[in-house]
Amino acid sequence: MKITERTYNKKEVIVFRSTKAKYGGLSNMAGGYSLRVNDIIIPSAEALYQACRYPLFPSVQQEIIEQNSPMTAKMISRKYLKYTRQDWEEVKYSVMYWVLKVKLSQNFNEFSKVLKETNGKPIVELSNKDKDWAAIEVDKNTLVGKNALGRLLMQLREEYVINNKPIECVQPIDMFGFLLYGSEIDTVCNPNMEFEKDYLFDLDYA
Amino acid sequence: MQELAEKIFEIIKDYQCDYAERKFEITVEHIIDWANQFDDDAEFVLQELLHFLPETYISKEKAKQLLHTRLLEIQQFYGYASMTEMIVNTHFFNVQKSYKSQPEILSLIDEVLQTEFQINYKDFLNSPKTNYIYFDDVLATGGTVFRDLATWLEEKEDGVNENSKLIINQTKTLGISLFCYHSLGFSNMQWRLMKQFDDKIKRVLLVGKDYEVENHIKTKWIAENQKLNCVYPVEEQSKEVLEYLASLEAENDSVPAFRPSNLPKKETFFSSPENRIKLEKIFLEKGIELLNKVQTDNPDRRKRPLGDTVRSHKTFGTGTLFFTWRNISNTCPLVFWWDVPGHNWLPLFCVKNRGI
Repeated sequence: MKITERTYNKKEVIVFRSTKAKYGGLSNMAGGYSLRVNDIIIPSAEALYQACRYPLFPSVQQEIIEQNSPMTAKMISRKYLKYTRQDWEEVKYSVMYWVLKVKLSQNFNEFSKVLKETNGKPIVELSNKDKDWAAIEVDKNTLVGKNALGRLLMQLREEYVINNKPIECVQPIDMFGFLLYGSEIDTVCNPNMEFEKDYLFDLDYA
Repeated sequence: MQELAEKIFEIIKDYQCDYAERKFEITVEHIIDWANQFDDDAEFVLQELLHFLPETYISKEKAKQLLHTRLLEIQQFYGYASMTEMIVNTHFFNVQKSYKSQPEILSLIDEVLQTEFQINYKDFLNSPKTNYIYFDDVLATGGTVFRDLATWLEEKEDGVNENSKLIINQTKTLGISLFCYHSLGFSNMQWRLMKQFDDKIKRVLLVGKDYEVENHIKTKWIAENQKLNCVYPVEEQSKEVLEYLASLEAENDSVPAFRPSNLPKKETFFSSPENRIKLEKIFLEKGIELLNKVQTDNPDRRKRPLGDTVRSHKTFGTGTLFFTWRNISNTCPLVFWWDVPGHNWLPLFCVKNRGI
């Protein structure tokens, strides 16, 4: 997937950066959006995305996933960059969109609320230097960058949030070696559906 | 055989020792009679049982020791100078029905506190509490602990804030103490608490356990590091066994019914990998045989040959091999506790408070 650079007028877009500020929930670093894939609890979208870099190194994935802080998970990931899957640059945007779909599916109320609050405006992640996932400020009113995360968030908003269409289950990406802890990643479902169907335990019997 | 039965007797002789209405006492003869139901495999079954029972049977005395140690750990963890100070500030949940495990564990705690520390915790029931501890014996699917904790977390003990908020902001603490938990059930319980309340609950929930049944095998990497210290059969089974699985009305096949044949990587629970396979087959086939005797149009969907499990799970059962003196868990293989008139099966451990 190729993404080209764009220019945004800062006054016309929703900008997010800090997880503490308004729209902070759009960030992969935001807490409170836990995920579970293949029965493994993953504390943040960032941890899941970083883990996907290292499909052949489950111990690295585990070290990343065990971090409660998404920032620490990213820092741990940096230690192992040489073990990144070889096609990462080609697949990383697809992986990120899959991660975002899982985040939405498993946190629909909270995440769709933040996406709705963007009111259909362009979403831009602001960064000091990352012109790939985010955009940087070139002058007071202008942001320039590929803004890949913002654009994937807009796509997600378009596909599921505007129509209020919760994602019941997210299929794995059809690609070689999409692995978590040595196993193929399964279809991931909305936990509410799993709870309603008593997939975890039978509460009437407990 | 006699010698094996005598050794087993020494381990399990106090089973239901404090239960006036117990159906029978454990004797060497009873153990032999139970084993003989496995025909030519009788001696083998006892040999294997003796291999893992010392680690997995909790006698009443052992339970008291474990609870004593746990109370000291709790006192130390919270940093109280004395046990009395800890007890004054700590509430023990007492929410299960009178015939369930929690009240019995609380009565042991009462005994330990009175004899070892000269404290009657019931004298302090009404003092304001900071710490809340849920004691139980075994967490299998996680449903009971989840339900009881969720009920309390939704309540407002101070009349203003939900208890969940006070736990998350660490005004109060919440802990669970178990003799044993199953890793899959524990993870399921954690996940549902996180989704129902707050992700932070995973971090603030304090957990004390003495034994872990490692049965979380969905992903290869985790599975390779699990002991599989339970009955978890391999796929190579008889036609009857495979037909039984196929016939189950259970839509959730995300929990594997079979363990990979190369796991566990190192056998630490049974006496050898071959003996594990053999015992698993014996318990599984005998369990199916027992279930086939049930004459009803609406069989209980939780009942499986290797022990009760979640209705929706398409598996042979939980396969628990952990036992306590007070009552056998229904998540253990049926061969240990099945006791139905006309089914011609003598259980090793009689069930205290449930029928079929």
